[in-house]
Amino acid sequence: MKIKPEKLLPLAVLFFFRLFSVNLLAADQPRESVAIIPVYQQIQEFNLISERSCDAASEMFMSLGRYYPVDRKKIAQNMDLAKKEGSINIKRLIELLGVELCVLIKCYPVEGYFAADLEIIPASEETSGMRKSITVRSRIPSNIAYKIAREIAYIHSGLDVRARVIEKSGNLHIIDAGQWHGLNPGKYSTDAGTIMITETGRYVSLAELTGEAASKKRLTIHSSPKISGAVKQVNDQIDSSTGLRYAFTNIEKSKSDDFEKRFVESFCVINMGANTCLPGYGSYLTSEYLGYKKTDPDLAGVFLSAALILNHHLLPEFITGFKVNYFPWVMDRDKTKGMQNLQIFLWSTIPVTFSASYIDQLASLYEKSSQFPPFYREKDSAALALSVFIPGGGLFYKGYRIPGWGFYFAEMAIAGYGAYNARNARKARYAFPILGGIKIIDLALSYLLKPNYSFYKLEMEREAGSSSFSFSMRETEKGGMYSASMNFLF
Amino acid sequence: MKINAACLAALIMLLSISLYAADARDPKPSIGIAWIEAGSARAQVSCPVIESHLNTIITSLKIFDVSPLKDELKKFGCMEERCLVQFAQDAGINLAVAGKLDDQGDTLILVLSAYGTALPYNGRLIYRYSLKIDASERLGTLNTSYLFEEHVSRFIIGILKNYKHPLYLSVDDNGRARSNSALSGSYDLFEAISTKDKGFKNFRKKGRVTLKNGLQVSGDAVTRGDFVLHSFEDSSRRMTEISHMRKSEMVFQKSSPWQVLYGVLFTVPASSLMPVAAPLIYYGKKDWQGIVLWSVNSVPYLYLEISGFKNNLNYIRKRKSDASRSDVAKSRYAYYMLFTGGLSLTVDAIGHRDIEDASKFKKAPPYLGSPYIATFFSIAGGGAGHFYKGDRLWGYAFFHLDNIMMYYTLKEFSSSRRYNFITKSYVTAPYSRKRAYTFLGIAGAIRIFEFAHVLLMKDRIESGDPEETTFEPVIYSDRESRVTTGIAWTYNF
Repeated sequence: MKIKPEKLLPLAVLFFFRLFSVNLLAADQPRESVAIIPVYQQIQEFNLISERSCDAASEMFMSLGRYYPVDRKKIAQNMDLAKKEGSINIKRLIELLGVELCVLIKCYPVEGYFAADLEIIPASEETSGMRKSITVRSRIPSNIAYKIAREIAYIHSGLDVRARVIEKSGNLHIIDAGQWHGLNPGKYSTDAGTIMITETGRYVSLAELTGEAASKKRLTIHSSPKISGAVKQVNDQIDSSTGLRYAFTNIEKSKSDDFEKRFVESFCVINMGANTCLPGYGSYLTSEYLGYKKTDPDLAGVFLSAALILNHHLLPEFITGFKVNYFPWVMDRDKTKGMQNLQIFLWSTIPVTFSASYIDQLASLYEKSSQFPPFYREKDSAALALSVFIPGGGLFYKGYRIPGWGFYFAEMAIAGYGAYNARNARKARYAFPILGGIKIIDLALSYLLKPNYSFYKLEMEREAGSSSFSFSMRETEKGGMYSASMNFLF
Repeated sequence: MKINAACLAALIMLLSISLYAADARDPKPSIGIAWIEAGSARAQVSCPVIESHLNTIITSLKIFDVSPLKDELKKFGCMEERCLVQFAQDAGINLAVAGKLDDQGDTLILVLSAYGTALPYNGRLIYRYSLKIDASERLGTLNTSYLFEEHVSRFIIGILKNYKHPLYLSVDDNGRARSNSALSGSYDLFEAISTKDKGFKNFRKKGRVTLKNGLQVSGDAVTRGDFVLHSFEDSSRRMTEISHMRKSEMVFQKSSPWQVLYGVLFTVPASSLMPVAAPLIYYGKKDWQGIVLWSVNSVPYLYLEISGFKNNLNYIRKRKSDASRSDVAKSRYAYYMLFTGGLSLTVDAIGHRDIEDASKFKKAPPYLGSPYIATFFSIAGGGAGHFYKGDRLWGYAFFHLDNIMMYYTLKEFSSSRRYNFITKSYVTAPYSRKRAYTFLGIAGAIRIFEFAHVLLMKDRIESGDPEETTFEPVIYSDRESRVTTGIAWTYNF
């Protein structure tokens, strides 16, 4: 569709304005107050990441409404003017651009990672406290940009709106802060008392100023940007790109590409058979069905699972000194009703222990192979569903193996106690409410906790300078090898 | 820089025309479509499609004067929000629309924003539509285009719902106010207050007027330049209906009342096979959410069904043992579950994934989309009508409500039976009829409500869950210039 002739007139006006640099409506516009500058390297790939990071930082400044970014073209135009002996004089560039803040972003490689330095240089008295230098790292290039954006969001924490009075008419004043700055009609506290904003435009507002505020040309309005939403959005983006990079589908592909179906089949069918034949070790063997090849079993998990399965079969025998009949459905003189109930409970929950053993082995394999479990996109719901059926299941799924076993023991022990004392109302009275309480905590933690895999935590971490501790245990030809390491970037 | 006299005169003349245009006496609001920015190469392919849908749909509505601004804005290097708002204000365009399509691997993020440039918005963002589109599966070019068309329609519906257009009134010789538009109804009357700042337009509420076909019939005195705010909510509602109807026609086949017969034939086998069929169908269709919900929600009712059959009245009679009211109720409830009660979950297992596919413009199987079957199912099985229309939340809510009420109603109508070994017959204890009919009444009322709800609700074929942010202007000064504050901020997710 062609633009209508009458619409061309205002466009021509705008053209004239630009041609003669007359900006009659400048008062309505937010002042460009932050320059975001990529620091270029010799490798093009890192320059692209720096530029993408600058874009992400610019978007974050825009969405939080405190500092309006200078157009990239304008920065480029002024770069030449700020050059001194071949290199750019940042101080001069800041002066030329007339900004209050300057943000420098430099991306470079560190062994195995992409890293980026974010440097915030204040250029006015009001921003003097904002000086900051931070290094972020990631194995995924796009996450560098997101992490930079997240840091930009954090620097907005507690930043008030600074507004100038641009027109007065009695008590009513037009100030140069509006909806973009997060202002809505209502009462606001300022450095000169309370003001009433009666109407907002995108970048300007109409305010009723009385008392001290009426005589001031500049106001500090106590209204901070809501950074939690912005940070959550960035975290979701990091989570999404990390999920894609470490997706379970990236493992060696087997007969079918339908990993989710294979996961369910391995859980409900293969693992049950494998564990019946080889208690504990069967869980490790089942993992091959998912496509894991040439991996090592987690021996601690295998032995623990085998011991637990043995416990399912023999606990009543141990308690009674091998007097009761092994089969739960056979009642004998030495078997009390409570003991039979316990035996039934233990036999009927063998599949639960098989599943816990399997999901524990998988948690170890996910960590070793740097892969997220299947259903990662709905990880919280998947963890919740697993915890409904398996004690601690959601925690195993998210990589919390020890807490997972903790909930398993707690829930199974209390449920077993309840089954044993089912006919003793006095004793059973407390068992089931306690079990219910623990289950609720299990479900809540499974849903709410973030995954505990080291590769995930690295992507979510804020500052690269912070240290991380890891501990691992593996079988070698010379026997078990334990290693502990402390990593930090400098 | 020196500006020569001729150039200055032209500038002033053009400026005056542009400011006149900014007051927009035309009853039709104007809308400028700026750009859809692409965040990646893949997104770049879809952006022209979105722009084209924006143009086509807005033009076809005939509510707005449409101006595609992209090329003009590009010429002036005006590709940011601040510049767009100013450009639209200068050009006398009431609404400016811009958007962004970003790529996050298996997700596309579409954000569409509408800025109101004239009164009462002063350049404010009035509506933002933000949506995550699952891009993990290939939809095909046509279906992708349909998908964007749907979201563009929903964005425009949002604009129509939130935008209020200032219609300026003129005054004739008799002092009666007149609007260029054939407005009828009672409206708040506003007057614009001039400010030195050209970009900011202040206004206040002046009173109230009643118009009939654009002519004032009663109300406060109007002076030239006063205006009323005209809402497009009716158009928004109409467009919502039309969009849904259009999508239904695209994905569902024509339905006929005879389809109820299929529903009748389906009910008993579907209900009786539910305990085995539902999990297998969920598994076959890879509906993992469905299988988890089924296993958690069906357990208490399956337990009642199994124990009802295991300890049924015939078995009790053979053993000559007593039967409590619960035993009798369970036995009867087991037959309910066998013949109709299990229908709901089989319907969910079969239909839900297909409804999800239909939301992505894939052709739905012929058994879906029939209002006749939905109505029959809402009578036959608790929540089945809702499950049939793809609504799991309401489906499970009614499934539980109906089953709980059915069991307790049966229990209230059941009497305990004691076996008398002397007479070799059962003695039946009386039950409270009043209480039993009260339960029946409540169960019936729930079913009627469910039936009506199913009739009124639409098939859940909308794709995606958008986040909608609206900023409604409800801040005015009253007659005495006292400030009345308030803002409606809505965030749907």
